[in-house]
Amino acid sequence: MECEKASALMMQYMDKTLSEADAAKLNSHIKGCPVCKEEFMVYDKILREFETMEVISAPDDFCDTVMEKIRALDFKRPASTVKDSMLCVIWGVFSVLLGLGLLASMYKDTVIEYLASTGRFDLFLKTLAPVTEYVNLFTEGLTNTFTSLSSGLSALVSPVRLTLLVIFAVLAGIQYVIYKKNKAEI
Amino acid sequence: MPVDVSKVSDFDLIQMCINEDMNYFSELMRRYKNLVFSVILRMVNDKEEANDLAQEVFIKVYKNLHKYYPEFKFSTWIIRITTNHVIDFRRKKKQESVPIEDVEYELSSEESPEAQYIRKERDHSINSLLEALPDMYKIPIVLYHKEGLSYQEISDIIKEPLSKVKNRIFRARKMLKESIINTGVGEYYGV
Repeated sequence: MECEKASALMMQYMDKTLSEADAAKLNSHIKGCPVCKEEFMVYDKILREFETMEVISAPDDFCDTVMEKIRALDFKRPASTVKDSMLCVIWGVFSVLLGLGLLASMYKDTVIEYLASTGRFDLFLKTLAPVTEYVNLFTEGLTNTFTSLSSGLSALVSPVRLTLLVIFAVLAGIQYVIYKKNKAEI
Repeated sequence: MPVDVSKVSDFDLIQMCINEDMNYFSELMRRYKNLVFSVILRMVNDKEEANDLAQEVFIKVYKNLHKYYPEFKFSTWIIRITTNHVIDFRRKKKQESVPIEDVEYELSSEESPEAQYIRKERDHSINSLLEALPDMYKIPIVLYHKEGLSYQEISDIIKEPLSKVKNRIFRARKMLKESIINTGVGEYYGV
């Protein structure tokens, strides 16, 4: 056995996972190798030193002192953490969906062109086509209704609405980060 | 009927402490005070400082009890807070430390044979060799060999992958071995 292998077995010995067969191999190696023998004896001593190391105990009045300090704090625990966790998930999912939706709608032509160019998504695009048509019709209908409702402001509606949505997505993302940070920070 | 708190699980005790009575916290402290104190003392090597830090750790733990989720064992969570707290404390202390030119040196009187013996014993002990190790090696090896934590638990505490934890413990053992051999302490160990 090589010294490198013996060294690896010594680590297993330190982990107390060395099998009997490997222990026998290690034993026969260190009998003929003074360097590994010295190494093994030092490791063994380190292990024993750890085992016999003084057990440290906290002072007797430790708990009383800390409890007194805690009582003096007059600490009010924040209400519900379950609510925080749920809000964290809601804001996270919302910001991701909204963000992705916005990106997809802004760059839909590029995305569709790319998918079409690869040729591997033909079937997918064909399946999607009727849905896209339906969505387009639906969006058109909504836009028409909206335009007729806000007749004079129609020119401003689209960019304003998009900007508001972007701001909202960013705010949702920030909200998610805040909840996540509050939860993890100690 | 009074509750026998010694049989209540850590998680239930935490819930009781949050929702019923803060005094249940002393039972949690009773369970982990020695572990926390011992980890801190091995990191700072000063009993008074360790006592102050351990108290601060438990106050911090009390304030953040509602943030504990049983995805980890409570001992893992509390040791993570402990090691982070001591590392922060060290960092702050380093920043506030007195410039070297302002330190007043005290000339030591001649050592008595008894003091010499004590110093020699201390210098040869594994404690003094451990003290010389950087935190990144000292914390995992103490938690593994002295506190009996598993590689996985240490990985959860220091938030590093299992492979890194194993590697650091292997390196720490090798560093201890090298310092024993190179400083001639080997003779003291009979090797």
